[in-house]
Amino acid sequence: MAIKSPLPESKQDVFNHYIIGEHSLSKLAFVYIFSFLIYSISWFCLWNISRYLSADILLAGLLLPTGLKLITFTLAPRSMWHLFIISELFIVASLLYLLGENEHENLLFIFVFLPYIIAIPFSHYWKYLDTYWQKLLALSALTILYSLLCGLAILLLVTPFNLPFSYVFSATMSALTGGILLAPFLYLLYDYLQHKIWLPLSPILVHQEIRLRPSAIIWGIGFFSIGLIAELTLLETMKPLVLLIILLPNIFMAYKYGWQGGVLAGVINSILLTTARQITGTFESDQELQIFMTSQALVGLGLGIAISRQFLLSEQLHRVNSDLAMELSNKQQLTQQLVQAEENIRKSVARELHDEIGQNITAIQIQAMLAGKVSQDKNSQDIATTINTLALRIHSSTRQLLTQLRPHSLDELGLEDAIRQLSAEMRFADRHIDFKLNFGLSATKLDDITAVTLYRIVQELLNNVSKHAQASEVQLSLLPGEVFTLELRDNGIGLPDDWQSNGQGLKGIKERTSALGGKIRIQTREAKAAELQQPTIRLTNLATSYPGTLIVIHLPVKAFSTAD
Amino acid sequence: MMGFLTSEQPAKTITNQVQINATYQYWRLHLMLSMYLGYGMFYFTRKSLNFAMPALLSDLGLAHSDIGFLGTLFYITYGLSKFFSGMVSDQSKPSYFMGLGLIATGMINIAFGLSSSLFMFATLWVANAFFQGWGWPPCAKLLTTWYSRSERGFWWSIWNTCHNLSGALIPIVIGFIAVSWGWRYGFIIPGSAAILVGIVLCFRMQDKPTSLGLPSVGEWRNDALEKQHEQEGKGLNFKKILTVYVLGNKYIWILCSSYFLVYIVRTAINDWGNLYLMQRHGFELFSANAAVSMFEIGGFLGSLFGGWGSDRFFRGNRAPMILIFALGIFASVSALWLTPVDNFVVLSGCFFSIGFFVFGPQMMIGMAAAECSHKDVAGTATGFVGLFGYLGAALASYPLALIIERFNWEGFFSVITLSAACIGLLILPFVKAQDVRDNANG
Repeated sequence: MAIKSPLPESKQDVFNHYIIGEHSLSKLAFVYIFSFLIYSISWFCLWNISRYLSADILLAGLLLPTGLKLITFTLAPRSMWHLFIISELFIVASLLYLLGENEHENLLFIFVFLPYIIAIPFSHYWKYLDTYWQKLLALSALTILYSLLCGLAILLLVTPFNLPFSYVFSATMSALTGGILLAPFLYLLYDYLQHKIWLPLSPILVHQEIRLRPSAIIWGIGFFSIGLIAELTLLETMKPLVLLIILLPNIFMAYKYGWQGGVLAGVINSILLTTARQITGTFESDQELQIFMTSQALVGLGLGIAISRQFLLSEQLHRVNSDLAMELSNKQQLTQQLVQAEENIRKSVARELHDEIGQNITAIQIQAMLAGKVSQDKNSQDIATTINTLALRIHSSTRQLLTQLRPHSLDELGLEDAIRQLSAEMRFADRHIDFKLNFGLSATKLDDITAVTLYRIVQELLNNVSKHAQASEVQLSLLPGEVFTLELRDNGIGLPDDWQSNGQGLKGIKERTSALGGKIRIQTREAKAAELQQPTIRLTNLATSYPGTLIVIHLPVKAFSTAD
Repeated sequence: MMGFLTSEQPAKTITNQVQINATYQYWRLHLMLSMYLGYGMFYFTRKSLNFAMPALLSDLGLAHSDIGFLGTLFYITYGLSKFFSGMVSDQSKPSYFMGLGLIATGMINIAFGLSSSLFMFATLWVANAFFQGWGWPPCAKLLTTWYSRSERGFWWSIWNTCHNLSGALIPIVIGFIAVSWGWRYGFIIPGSAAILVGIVLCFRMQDKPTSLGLPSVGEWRNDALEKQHEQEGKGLNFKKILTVYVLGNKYIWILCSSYFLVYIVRTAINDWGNLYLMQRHGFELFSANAAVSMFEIGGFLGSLFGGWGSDRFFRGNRAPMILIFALGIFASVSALWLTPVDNFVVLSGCFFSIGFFVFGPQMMIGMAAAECSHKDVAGTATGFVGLFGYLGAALASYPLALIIERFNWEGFFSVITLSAACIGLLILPFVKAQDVRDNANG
């Protein structure tokens, strides 16, 4: 135990505290050592793999380690950057000491510091990015910028070191390939592990099912095997075709899983390309392989970003849609409440009118009659008669008002008989109009509001028919179902041309229906079918028997049932 | 079960907080020391054959295939023994179990050192494998009952380094003994040491904290997760616990399959590494062995940082750390495969890297298995996972030799690189299971 405590009895506590626990110094030290180790080992392994793919130490150091470097400098806090610089300097120095052959390989030291310099402005910029596609684009831009800088640095040093000009291209290409392949992949890993809340590992897992996606696995394996087979067999003879086939998994993965899929496919494909090269020895130069890798990774990345963005947009659209749907249902609910409130007020006003005013008028009439009888004076008798007449007039207008406020017959007879009475009032039979009523609703299922609404609509419609239609046959059907259907057919002259702008009654029905979430369809003789919310369907049997007007109204049941 | 082996019934409960703290602190440290020493000794007597092998070969005129055969036999027996003794160990006292196992394995080692026929070797080595299996489950039991969830990664990784320490010491010590006094002493001396340590273990170990009358470790450290773990499936009988939390636990099976692959990589690199270096990179035997021993040093750091890091960065969740390390295994194995450099330091670095990345999952998968099964079957769960690990190891000895013969080193590396890639893929469902967001959506 390295830590000595002044208090012997709490030695164990101190031990726990320092080594395991909550002390910030040990925590910091741990984070530093851990990062240093992981970074060094990864850098070293990636360099070894890169060495296989490139000609010398310098190019190997520019290949895959570039991706690791760029993403580390992007994601790690700035206080840790010097740690990575030290680690890299150490590895580079020992590699050059052990393996260095050419003078120009010492240039690798420059590229230890180069990312540090561009990462400073980049980290400021990075802070303001919040969506993944901006971040990915920024990472790609950083990679391109960095590889161009590498190229530029080599270009400036070509003459002093006696290097061929093609070396500039090799260096640029190496940095670009490494960056494009690894930086997005490591960002994906970071994003996946970091932005998660981990459910603690516990035996509760026993009760949870494993979710595998066998179809995705099979598809992925299928596409990658096609790609691999193409690389192994066709690469020599038909290069352009192979490039297309190799892109298949990228396209598929990007299409299916967005940017994550694209990035993953890019990396897996590169591994397969390397394997193919290891087995068959295709690709004449390292650069050719790198160009291949970069292009397929870029395609996957670009496609993935585009698809993820589309997905994000469609998600937003979906959200807006569902918001709107909620608003609409709110509106319908409000309307229902409005209708209900209106009906309630009408009912209570009607009751007041009936009970209070009706009685009082009767009293006034009696009093006026008595006054006329008692009085001998002609003048007084005239006045009493006038009062009586006036009272009678008030009485009859109150009656009229009452029926308007609250269809009295509905309360007494129920909807079906009330409608029959309505038709009787219209005196269809006297006017040689054949009126048929199909009443398919069960009256008990109807609540008050539905009944009143239906009654009012029927009243308005029948009124219209009897006044304007000049029909000889009228058929009214009320049918049950998920939605109430009210259907009125006649063989009259049809609606006037300007009914949409002029007819107050139909307009009112329209408004009330649509407010309650219903639909109305009107079809008239002129065959200029008016369409409201729904395409007109010509009913063939209608054309023969009822060629006049057809009005169909659908009212959702739930619009009422929830209101109660 | 034999009477004295059976787990003690809970003693009188201690209520004095000061005394509880003192007892806990004393035994946590001392148990760690005993386990470290004990398991290190187990490892010593297990690997003694590998390093006495060259002398054994020349002395008795045995063939390579005989040794390979002994190895495969050993791995399979060891894996099975680990699982079955796990079941027994969960219901018995660790001190006697581990101590007696170590004494037995010491005696077998001595007997091995005294015998000369292949038949005897095979019999003794299988018996050794059987008693070797007694070492791990008591440790798993103690590690899950004396250390709570939020700190276990740290303690377990410390304990796990005894593999690597022992693994690094064995070649030197056995090599020295074999060179100075002959290979027979290469078995007799470690065997005697094992008997001594085994006797010490019998008296220097404890059962669960509750059997000392202490509160459970979750209560003592007030670790909410640990308490929850202690409550899960309480009061079920052993058979029921075994079928529900180990054999019927799909996540244990996922861990088994990835452990299988981890052990293929571990054993392949450890057992064939020196041959590869000699054949492909033209190394001498000594430098090849030295490069391979970097594997253990890397493993020392890897298991330490893997377990500790999973406590620190992912709040005691092993899955994300295993995923990172699995990617590392893939990268480092490819690095060893592809590197065109023949330099000793670079190749040692590759072995160091592989060791670092392999021993993280090697430890954490066992830990995860203990943590996602019932508290009372920690030894069985880790033993079950270990069984698969050693099946992988068995696969990496003889069958892999056939692959090398048939397809050369490319075939060898294709197999282990593919295994390395699959570790990451297999652990993904496990990672997903721990994702709150994902579970909320699905």
